[in-house]
This record gives sequence, structure tokens and C-alpha cells, in this order.
Amino acid sequence: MVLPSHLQGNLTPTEINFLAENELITILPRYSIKKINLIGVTVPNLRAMRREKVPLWVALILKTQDKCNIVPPKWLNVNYLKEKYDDEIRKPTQFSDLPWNWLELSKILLTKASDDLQDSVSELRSIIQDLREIRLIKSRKGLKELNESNIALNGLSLLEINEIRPFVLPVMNKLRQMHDTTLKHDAGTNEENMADVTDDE
Amino acid sequence: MYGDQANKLVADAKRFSNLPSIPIYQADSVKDIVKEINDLNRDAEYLSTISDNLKENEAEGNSTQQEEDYRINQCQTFVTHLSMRRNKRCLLAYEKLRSDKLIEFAWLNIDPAESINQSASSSTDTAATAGAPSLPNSKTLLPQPKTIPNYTTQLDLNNLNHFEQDFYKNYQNLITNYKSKFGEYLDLTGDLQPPTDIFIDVRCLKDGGDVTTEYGSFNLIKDSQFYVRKSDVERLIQQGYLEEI
Repeated sequence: MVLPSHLQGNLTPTEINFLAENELITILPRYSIKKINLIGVTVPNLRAMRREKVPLWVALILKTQDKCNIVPPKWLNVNYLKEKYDDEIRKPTQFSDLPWNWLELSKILLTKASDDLQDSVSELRSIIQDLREIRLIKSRKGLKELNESNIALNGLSLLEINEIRPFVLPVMNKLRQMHDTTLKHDAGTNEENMADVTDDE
Repeated sequence: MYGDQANKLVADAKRFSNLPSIPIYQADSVKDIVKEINDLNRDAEYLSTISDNLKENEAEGNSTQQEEDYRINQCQTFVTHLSMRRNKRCLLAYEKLRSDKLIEFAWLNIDPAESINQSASSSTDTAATAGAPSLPNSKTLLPQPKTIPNYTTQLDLNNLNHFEQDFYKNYQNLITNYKSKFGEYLDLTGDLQPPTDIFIDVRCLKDGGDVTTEYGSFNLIKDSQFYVRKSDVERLIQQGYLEEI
């Protein structure tokens, strides 16, 4: 195929970042800027020190030019994340409900807007790392439950799903194939079965 | 046994399926397989005449011996056809893999004219050195395109057979036609990485002389650095002249 094989069927981390940058985020502008019409969203008239919601990538451009402060989302503070961490420990079979792009958002904000966060960056980093590890352990444990029909991954973020996808999908596919071949075909002549055998790889 | 030749061809196909370049076309092997198919076809025709004879005899009298002959004949015909089918499948798999690699290369954003020159000069290099590794200064002249894992990034037109060369040229025309529908607004062969920064620092890896992009001219001197708009230099990065920092 034309698309390189490492881009087929899975997203790269940069692509996930790209998707996460489309999320709206609240900013505190320092200058007044006129409204901009983008594809899909509009950046409203920005007035100094008046909170507005803009796409994250616009916020990052303004931030690098020192034209705004980013208001961190309400889940990005040590207290909230500590609570979630306790949640994870209390419920060993579920994932706590974090936003679908918590990893990418927190990484972007920690690197590019660290001066806008209320808590210290090192503390946030360590609690995020803890959360990530405990969720990783859970998803590893969950892989034991793979079967040919379904899997429930409630509360897993996009990046975490993306990590296990290249492993989970082929394994489930093979399990399904093996399951299907043991089923009895009611209709289906010999010739059709022959065609299946020769064309299947 | 029938099919062994084809097996070798497929094993070769598997070997180069992940290489960044397309190896030489195995004309001998393919010719052998086609010859084998012709032999098998002759067998099949012969067997069908026998089967016709048997059928005629069957109308006259029905003995157990004749019935067994008929069954044996059926079995031979069937196996012959299966062998032909397997050879056909192996040949098609080989050709398809090569054409896929050609298509991959054709989509890379390398100027077609340049790629042809590049491959031509590299082939003369290999001809001159006759198997020895190509001269180091030939590499300084020809920038190596950015490597993409499991992707065809080099092409030597001399490794292709006549039909593949035609196919490659026609496919390039198809791409050009298709791209022209989108005008200048969308470059379909552009970088597949999502855009991050508008302005980037680039370092020049190879001497390229004066290179004029659509937005102005650069003087590419080795190890010089520029701070430029990413969309201006995307093509040069793809061709391996510049490296993003």
C-alpha cells in the first residue's frame, strides 16, 4: 500500500498529539485580538484578561509569543490526581475516569505552559507517572482475559488504547479465526470450502 | 517436483519485502516457472484427450477396468491443474510485491526527473565498480532520502524489467494527474507527520548549491543553518538535503 506500514491500522504518538491539540482550552489573553474563523471552530474576539475558550494549538501559538496565559483544566492539579490514584488502588478491576487525552494534554501543558500551573511541575509529573504505571499494570493484567468476542476497556485513554492495539487486535483476530473454524457450516458445498482453503493465507 | 521453482521465487520475494530497494528481476526463475506451466498445460491437454477416448469406450461397454482408468485420469488432471494454479499464484505474488514497492516509491516526494538521474548514475557506478561498494564521493553527490521503516525509498530502474519500467512511468502519470485535481492547495505527496511548528531550524547536510524554492532561494552549503518556514523546506527535508533540528 502507499501508506507506510507503520502508519497503517494504528496512530502514531504525534498523530494522537495532533488530535489532542484540537481540544478547546480556556485561556487568559494579554492582548486584544480580533475574531478568527477557522475550519470547524472560531476563535472569538479576545480581550485582555477575559477568559475565552480556544483550540489548544492556537493557545500554544499565543503562549509561545507570550500573548496569553493558559488556564489549566480542572483535573490537572495534584489533589485531583491523588484522588484518582486512590480510586485506582481501591478498584483493581476498573480504570478511573480521566479525560480521553489526559496523558497528551498534561504532557503538552507541563512542557509548554509549566509556569501557568498552580502546583509544582515535579509533583505533577510524579503523580502522573504513578497513575500511568498503575493503569499500565491493570491493562497488562486485563490482557489475560482476551477472548474471541469482546473486550471492555472503559476509561482507558486514547494513548493507552493505542499502545495495546497492535497486540490485542491480531491476537483477538486469531482467536476468532480459530473459533470460527471449529463451528460447523450448515450450508456450504465442498467446492466452496476448497476455495476458502486455497485463498486464505 | 512441480512448484519447487515457484517456492524459491516466493522465498526470494519474502526476503526483499522489507528492503528499502527493489532487487533485480529474477527473469531466469520466472522463465523456468513459465516453462513448467507450459509443460503442465501440455500434460493436461494430453490427459483430456485420453479422457475423451475413455468416455467413448465407456459408451460401448462398461467394465470395472475402464472405470478405474477413468478415475485415475480424473485424478491426474486435477493434480496437474492444481500445480498450474499454484505456480500462477506464486508468480502473481512475486509481481504484486514488486509492483507494490514500485507504487510506494512513486508516491515519495522526490522529483521524478531527479530520481531517474539518480538511479541511472548509481547504476553506472555499480557497473563501473562491478559489485564493489559504490564510491564514497558518489554518495556525497546524491543525498540519501529520509528512511521510512519498511518502505521503498530507493529505486534502480535497471533492476526492473521492461514491463515494470512501463508500469512505473504510467503510474507516475496517474499520480500527477490525480494531484493536479487538487491544485496548489493540497500536496498529496507531502510529509505524513502532523504539523507542529510553523518555523523550524534546519541544518544543511549536503552541498546542494543554489536551490530555489517557490518562496525564495537558498544557498545550501554543508553545515550551514537556517531558520525558515517549515512548509518552504519540506520538500528539501524529504529529499535529504536538510535535517530538522
